[in-house]
Amino acid sequence: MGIISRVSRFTDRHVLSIYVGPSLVLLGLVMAFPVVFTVYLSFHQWIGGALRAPEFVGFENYARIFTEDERFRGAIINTIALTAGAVAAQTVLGVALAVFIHREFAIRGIVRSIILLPMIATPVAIALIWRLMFHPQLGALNDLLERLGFAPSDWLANPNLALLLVGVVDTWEWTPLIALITLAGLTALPHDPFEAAAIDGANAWQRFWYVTLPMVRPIVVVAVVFRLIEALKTFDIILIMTAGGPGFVTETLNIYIYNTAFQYQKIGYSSALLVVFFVLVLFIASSMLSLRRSRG
Amino acid sequence: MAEQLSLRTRKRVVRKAFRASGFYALLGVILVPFAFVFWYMVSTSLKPAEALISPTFRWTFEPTLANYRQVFEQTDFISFMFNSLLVGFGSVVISLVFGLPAAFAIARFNAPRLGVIILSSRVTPGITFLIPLFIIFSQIGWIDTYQALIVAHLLITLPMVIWLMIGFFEDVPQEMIDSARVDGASITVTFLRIVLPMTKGGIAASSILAFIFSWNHFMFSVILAGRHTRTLPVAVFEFMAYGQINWGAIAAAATVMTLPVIIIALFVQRHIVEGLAGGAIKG
Amino acid sequence: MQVSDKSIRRGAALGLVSLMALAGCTPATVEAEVETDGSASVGAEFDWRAHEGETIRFVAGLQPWQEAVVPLIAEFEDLTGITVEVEALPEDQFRQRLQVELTAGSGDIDVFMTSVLQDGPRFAESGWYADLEPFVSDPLLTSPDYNFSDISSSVLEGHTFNGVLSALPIQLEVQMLYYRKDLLEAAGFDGPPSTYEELEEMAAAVHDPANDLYGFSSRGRGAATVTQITTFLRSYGADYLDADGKAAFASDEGIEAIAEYGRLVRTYGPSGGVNNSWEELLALFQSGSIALWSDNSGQAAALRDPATSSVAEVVGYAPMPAGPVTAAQSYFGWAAAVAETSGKKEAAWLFLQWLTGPDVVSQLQEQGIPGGRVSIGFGPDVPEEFVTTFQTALADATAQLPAVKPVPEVRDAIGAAVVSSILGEDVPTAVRKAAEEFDRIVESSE
Repeated sequence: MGIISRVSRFTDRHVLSIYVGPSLVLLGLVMAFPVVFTVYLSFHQWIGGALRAPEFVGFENYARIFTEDERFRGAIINTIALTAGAVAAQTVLGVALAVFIHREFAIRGIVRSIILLPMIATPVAIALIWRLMFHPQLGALNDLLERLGFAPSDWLANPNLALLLVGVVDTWEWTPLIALITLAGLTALPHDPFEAAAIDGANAWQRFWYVTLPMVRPIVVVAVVFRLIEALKTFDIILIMTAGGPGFVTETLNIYIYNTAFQYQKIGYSSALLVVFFVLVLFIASSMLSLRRSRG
Repeated sequence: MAEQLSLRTRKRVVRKAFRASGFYALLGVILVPFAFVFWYMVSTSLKPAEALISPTFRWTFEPTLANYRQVFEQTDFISFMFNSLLVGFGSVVISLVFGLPAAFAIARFNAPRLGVIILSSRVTPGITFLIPLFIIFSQIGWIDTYQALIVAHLLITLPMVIWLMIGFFEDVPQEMIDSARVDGASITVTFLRIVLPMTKGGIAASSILAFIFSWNHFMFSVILAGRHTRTLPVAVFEFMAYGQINWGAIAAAATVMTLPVIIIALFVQRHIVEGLAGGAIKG
Repeated sequence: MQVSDKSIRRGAALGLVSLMALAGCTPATVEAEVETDGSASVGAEFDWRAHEGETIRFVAGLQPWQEAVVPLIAEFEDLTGITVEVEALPEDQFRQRLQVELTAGSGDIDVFMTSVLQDGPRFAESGWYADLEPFVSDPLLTSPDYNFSDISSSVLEGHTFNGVLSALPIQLEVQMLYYRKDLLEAAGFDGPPSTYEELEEMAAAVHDPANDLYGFSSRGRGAATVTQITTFLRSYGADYLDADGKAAFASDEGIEAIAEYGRLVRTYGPSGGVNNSWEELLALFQSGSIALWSDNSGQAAALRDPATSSVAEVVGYAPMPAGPVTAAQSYFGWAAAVAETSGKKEAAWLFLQWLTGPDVVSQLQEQGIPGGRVSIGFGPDVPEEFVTTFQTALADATAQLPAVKPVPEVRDAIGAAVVSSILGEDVPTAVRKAAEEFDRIVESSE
């Protein structure tokens, strides 16, 4: 009895360290070396891997990134365009979808299940299927277009369409996440404000805009922040559908880093790019989080 | 009077039916893009070779199981699935053991900053970890081992479990905890006996979501796994050999890969929604 | 609380980093081990079973060669008592895997496939290839039947970097023109084209996109095009490099060549050409949609296979046509090497010499997969026209890739210009920009 209660009192006093400590240490251990290693390498050029020591080059990699590297600039633009566009579309469509199916109807459970599917399926597999669908000769979409009397499209081979199509696939995949979170939030909302508004003569649209949206906004914002952080790292679908092409029009920063490290073997340079990427994402994430906190 | 009423009622009934059918029609239109892709995947997997190499798209064809046969014969699909299960299960269990107490403490002992620190581990792209983890694992002889993959997947599952469970733990009414404390229970006992049972739904939801993310993860599979521990996503690529892209087999592999996850999801879709909402509302 | 966590983490990280730097020392100790392992020199002569009981790891990409060789490996295992663990991955994953493992210096890889044109200079500089010379010249380590001199010496030159024999050829390819005999005959032509003008004439005659038939196609996907435009460049009188090692393909002739390539692909090829590499075009040719296709000779086996190719009976083979200056031909090759970090180099060498030995090469060559041995011809099942085309092309062939170090990066730069050409954009600007990029990339890699 004595030992148990003493241990309990000890854990009670140091709850945070004992409860949270192990997770922090575990994550820290797994992450520490890679992160430190990456920062260390970003100041070096490293040819030959473990057989040769990295060559210290100071800030040369960073200088090159910001002054000479045109592909870097393209990659940043593509990343921001794709992420902003896709996440915006997912938010609007997701909220609209949630509001639309937020009512009692017979097959509600089945509908929710179907909507869940894109988010749950393996991205690698889904990207391959989409790629086949977009195939100018073998795919179903051009066949559909032709049957409807339209001209066939180049789809992913069209440099003006490629990035947009990647965004479409990303939106297809992740709109369900926003929709389902919003739907759950809507379900939890109290009924009174709606009834009050209806009694005051507000129509459906006004009820939505002035009552529903403001109340559900905090939930939507949290979902969007999470989605935004993930979207900046979009990788699988781009690699499989276009590999950054045609040319470099769908090459986002993550893909460019991958190519630099694994195709060109420039580990030092790719480490510098990773540091820049990390800082960028951290900056965007923390500004979104502080925005959420200030909005309450 | 009675006739007028029934006319108005009839009109209202008709209008309601109209709106209902309008709703269902629109619903159908919305669901088409979601379902079409999956229909496409399954139908491609059932297409015979000659329908696949036909220069125009074939909507009708004679279904065959040849592609599925190829998938199971040409690749070690069963062992890939076993590996994916083992790695997913292992990393989720460890994530629960470490993550549940962590989320609880962060939620109830006022440490939101720690939560943000943990979320920030999701910020680093996967590439950052590939070479360093490979170096460490090869130094300690862990290449092509399950423990290596599980540790790598912890980077995905642990932050997710913590982030989602913070919301659920915040939801637990203070009175339940207070009354337990008044009875003299320590925090640990309160946690184990009162809080955990109350948040069963959330625990189920976050475990399943974490498992799904681990199951679908591709990048670590290629590098850190070896011949004995290769997981499912890699299997799909085996059909993109020099010589041809075997779309039928790829679609079959994709279907078989997605099927277990979809089945799990269908059964627990309600829990998943709760899990997402719980994490969102408070997280 | 958190401060002490951080400093512990930092210490651990520094410890790990220095461990890793020490890892660079292991190859030397490994070398010493190999030398003192005297089992091979105990007997007075070469012995296939000298390393019986060992296990070696072979990493390969999915290839016709690999598909043909893997079933034969059981023979090697019987012969030597060595177990071979084969890891074959699709090309992209194979490259990735190789890169990570060799960068980490793990020592797990013993033999691996490599493309000397693509990776040679970089891998050699990184010191990843073991020097094969001491093995080849040691009669105790090399079978007397090996017949090293049978391997073409010009090919061997391409596999030697800084005087170190780094790899041995396992598969040679040349670029050739595949054509549909039936379609050309029906259109009134009596043979394959011998100039690019004739090529265009024939392509235009049979081109019928409304019925899914395309006159001519070639690769369009960025970096993949670079091995295919080499012949165009040289047939128009241009080349990748000039005498000073600078980009020379932005000359008038080079621009014309790239413009012509793009125009042909755009005009007579299937739409979406810039996303097509050999995988897509192979499928289209097999389904009968392409009349003329230029690509590497490795595709021939798939084209001849009646199980997947609907045109297996009517495929013709011709060397690349002539441009204004010459009828340039080009070659590409795959090789196998022993990893410098391997701890079992002698056992690995046994495997490598078996892979490139006369026995295996003749078995593969019968299936139409050419190795690097001069004396071995193709088997009787391989079409006569293919053999003639292959030998004619090989005789004049030059390397399909420029002889610089940062090949993949340079391929992306040049590929972007070819993509512009196929899309019908401003070719001279794109090519000049690519040339500038080329020079900048090569310079910064020195």
